[in-house]
Amino acid sequence: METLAAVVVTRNPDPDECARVLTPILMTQRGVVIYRALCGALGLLFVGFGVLIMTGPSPDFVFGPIMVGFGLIVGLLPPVVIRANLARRIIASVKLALQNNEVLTVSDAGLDIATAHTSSHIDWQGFKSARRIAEGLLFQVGIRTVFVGSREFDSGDDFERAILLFKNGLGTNFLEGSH
Amino acid sequence: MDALTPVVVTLRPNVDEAMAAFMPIAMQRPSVATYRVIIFVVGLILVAVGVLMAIYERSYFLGPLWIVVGAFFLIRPLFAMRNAVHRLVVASAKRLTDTHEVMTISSAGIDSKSDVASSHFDWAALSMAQRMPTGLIYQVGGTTYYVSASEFASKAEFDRAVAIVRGGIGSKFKE
Repeated sequence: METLAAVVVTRNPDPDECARVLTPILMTQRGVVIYRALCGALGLLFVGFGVLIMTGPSPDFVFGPIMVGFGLIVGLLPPVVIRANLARRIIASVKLALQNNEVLTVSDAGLDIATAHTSSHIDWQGFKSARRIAEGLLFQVGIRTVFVGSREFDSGDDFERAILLFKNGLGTNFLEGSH
Repeated sequence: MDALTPVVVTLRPNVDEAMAAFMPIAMQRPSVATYRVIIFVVGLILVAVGVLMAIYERSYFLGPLWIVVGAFFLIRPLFAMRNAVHRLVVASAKRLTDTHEVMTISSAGIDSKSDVASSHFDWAALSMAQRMPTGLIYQVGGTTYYVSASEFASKAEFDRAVAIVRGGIGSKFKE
């Protein structure tokens, strides 16, 4: 395997782009999916009761619509609130990364992350997976999902070399294509 | 032993202790607190509607049903948060144990080394640290770390580590 020169990226993430890329991924986490399914089922139950109350032998046009309205709120509001919360958290953490002047170095040995007061190194064995997506590079370290936009690299060549280094380092754990 | 000699800890996290340390922090986050208040108010309204229906309309099916659903809203957020934090703590504990992570606390800061990664935090990187009854908690960036006193070789080693951290971050250390 050819030895590739290291790629250095001074992080300059776009908070909105990060939120756009990462929010749908975090929305598919097991806990969030279970919670959304529970809310959906509960909401459906309420709507069903509401409809039954309005169409039953002694229709009630006060409690029926209240139940339907409540069911719609319970079923539809939580996913919207969760999505907005996740996006807010992602934007906050990206702004923190911007303040910290984070620098990434991708090399044959793995990934180095440095800020003014911290430094860390992760061997390729420390990665769960990585994926090339249309907007850039996505990887998982421990329980963290990190997105680095292709526009953050100095050039298209640097981005392609970083992708190649990830591919060489992760083998079958490197995935191509959309998330 | 010299007070400035580094303290080395092989991390073997205790999930229950870590849960006890992380839960209050998670529950105090503004978004979680707001969410809990909203759901609690919804639950309270539902229970009240159920009670009123049972008493005034003698509705012995819908009344109790509203009460049960209301009670679900009162209790559910607490369990949901607990489960979410528990999942994160278990995943972190497993990763730290599996990769044999060793932490070194010295006058230069906090270093960690595992089979697959290493990191160094200068004292300036810590936004806070606190001695808790069961261990030491500290924050770097937006991430909170907990190391139990039981993971240190002895109580004296734990006390020495706390003293080094206190010396490193000064007024940002909470007792």
